[in-house]
Amino acid sequence: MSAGLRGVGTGTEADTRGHDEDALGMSAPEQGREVHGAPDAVGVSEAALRRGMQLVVAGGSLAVAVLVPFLLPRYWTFVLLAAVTTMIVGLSIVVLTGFVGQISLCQATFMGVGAYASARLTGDAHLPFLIALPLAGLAAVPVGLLAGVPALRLKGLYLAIATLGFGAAVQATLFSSKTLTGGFSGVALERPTVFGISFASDLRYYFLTLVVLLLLMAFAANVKRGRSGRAFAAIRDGEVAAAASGISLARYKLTAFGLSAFIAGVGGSLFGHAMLSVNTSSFDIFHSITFVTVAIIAGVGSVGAAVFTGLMVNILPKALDRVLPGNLLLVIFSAGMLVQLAVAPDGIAGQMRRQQDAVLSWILRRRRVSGRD
Amino acid sequence: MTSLILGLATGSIYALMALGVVIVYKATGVLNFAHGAMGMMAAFLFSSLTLRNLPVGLALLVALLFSAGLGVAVAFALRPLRRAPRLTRAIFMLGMLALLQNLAVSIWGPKVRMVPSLFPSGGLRIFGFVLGYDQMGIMLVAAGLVIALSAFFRLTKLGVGIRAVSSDQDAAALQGINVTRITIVTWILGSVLAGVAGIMISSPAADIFSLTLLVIQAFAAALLGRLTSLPATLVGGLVLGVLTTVPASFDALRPHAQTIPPVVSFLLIVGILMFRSDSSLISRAGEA
Repeated sequence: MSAGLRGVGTGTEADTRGHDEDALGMSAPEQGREVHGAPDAVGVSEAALRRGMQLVVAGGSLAVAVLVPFLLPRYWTFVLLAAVTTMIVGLSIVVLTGFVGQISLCQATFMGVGAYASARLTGDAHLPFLIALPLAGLAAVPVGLLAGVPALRLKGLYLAIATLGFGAAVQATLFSSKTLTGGFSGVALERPTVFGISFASDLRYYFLTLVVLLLLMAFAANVKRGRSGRAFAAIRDGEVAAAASGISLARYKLTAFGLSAFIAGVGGSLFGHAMLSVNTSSFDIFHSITFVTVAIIAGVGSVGAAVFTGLMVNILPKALDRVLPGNLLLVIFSAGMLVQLAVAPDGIAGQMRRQQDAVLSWILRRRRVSGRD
Repeated sequence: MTSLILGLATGSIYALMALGVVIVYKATGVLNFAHGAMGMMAAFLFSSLTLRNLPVGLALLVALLFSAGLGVAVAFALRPLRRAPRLTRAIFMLGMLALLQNLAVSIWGPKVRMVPSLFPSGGLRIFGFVLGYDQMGIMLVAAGLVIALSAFFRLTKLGVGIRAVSSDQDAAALQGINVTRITIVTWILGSVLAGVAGIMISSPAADIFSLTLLVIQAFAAALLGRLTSLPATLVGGLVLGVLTTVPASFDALRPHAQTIPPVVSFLLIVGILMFRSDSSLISRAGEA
């Protein structure tokens, strides 16, 4: 795709004729402005356009996320709330699978550790929520490191088996233990109060989780851009080459597992406080399987793709709830997932990127055509 | 001793499950995460057929026919992904697991169901302990199937074809072997093995979720057989069965009987995968 775009005219030609195009009213005003602002070098206007579109999409999504609870019936707020916590888990998968190419079938386990830790910290130790939340994420880190140890020797399928086994083992021990986690009866959690402001209502708590999601997304995007992010990408694209250029595989793989567990732990804590109680079945490995499958189908290529995971796990089934009875809906939903995976193994986000590229190249082609005329 | 026999019987079922995983993985490169779920479907169908007063034999036949059909369906569903990376296809099977589980819940509900035994109750008293007919039956079926499968892979044209496809799909195709047909046969075999194992382990009662999760035990046993050798997989299943049931016979561990199988399986999986220095697994993991 990018090859096709690079072949499109030279920047100078397009820029000097830009006004004609506007005069002809051939391009949308926003898009036109983006191109005008771009320097002359080949490909830069494309990058600027791309960034512009991303900003429009991101800003638009945020606006929708803020407004949508006011537009939908009340019970939807809770669904949205659950969706945001799933998005955070989706983000933890983006970090691990998208950035570093490692697979984990025990993300729900990390969530669980976060939720139980938060229940203990806020309930028994009476810590303020804002302190308990990062601590809950940190509590999941050692578990993540433990789950990540097999990754030092294993890849792909074998790592998937090992992490699945890990999730099942933790489920059977820690999460079933009456003394540690309350087993079947589980533990109760409360909606938090931060600086004297109560976040008890669904709506308030929804905005709180949304802020945490945004912070974590910014954090993940920063990691991706930084030194670790480059090391991650190198490992993902070829371990041997990465090791040969002096990147410590062990260190960065474990970092990725720790980071992913932290994010999932925070997500689990928020989830627990959203649901008001969690028990042994809240974080079983079927949840992990759903999260990973949906995240991969949604796409793990970018931080933004995490949003799709929440949309697909929580919102889509609820939106279709009226049409079909719940169980049958889940059957059709999972069948649809399989079809989607067969059609686009790089995920929905990948599909959308291709469409975005198509729009971009259409815009640039229009410019060239008008330039030559 | 009694628990040792129980362990061997349970282990035989793990072995049958694992054999299905190994056969499918060898021939098609697909790691079947939905193997337990496929066995669960057969077991629940069997259970509901017998509840409608079908004779056990007929119900078994219908359930296994269904298994075969399910195998064909999965083989075709995987066709668009046949050149996809192994991990993508494994993810597909994870999705299949979710699909089958949701399907089962929507048909039968999430409750525990009674599943009749294929074998008569009672048992033989030998050297002071009781050897149940069901335990004997399970072990005989497992042993019989392993012998039959070994003979099938060595002696029949189809079996040799499967082995050819296992070692090199393209070379096999160049030799005039119909790879699509072999793939379908393999999936039928795998699915029926899952069905037999699922039905036998479900008796007297089972639920959807724990049957689906049997795939973890199957993977552990399959890894003990290095995902290649059928006899080694059989031994692996038996070892796993003994390791998971014998500890539960000690009083101190009895309350944790539910806990032991997943934990032992996990430790085995990690142990096998991590500490094989010469491993054929590690090098193959590179392709994954």
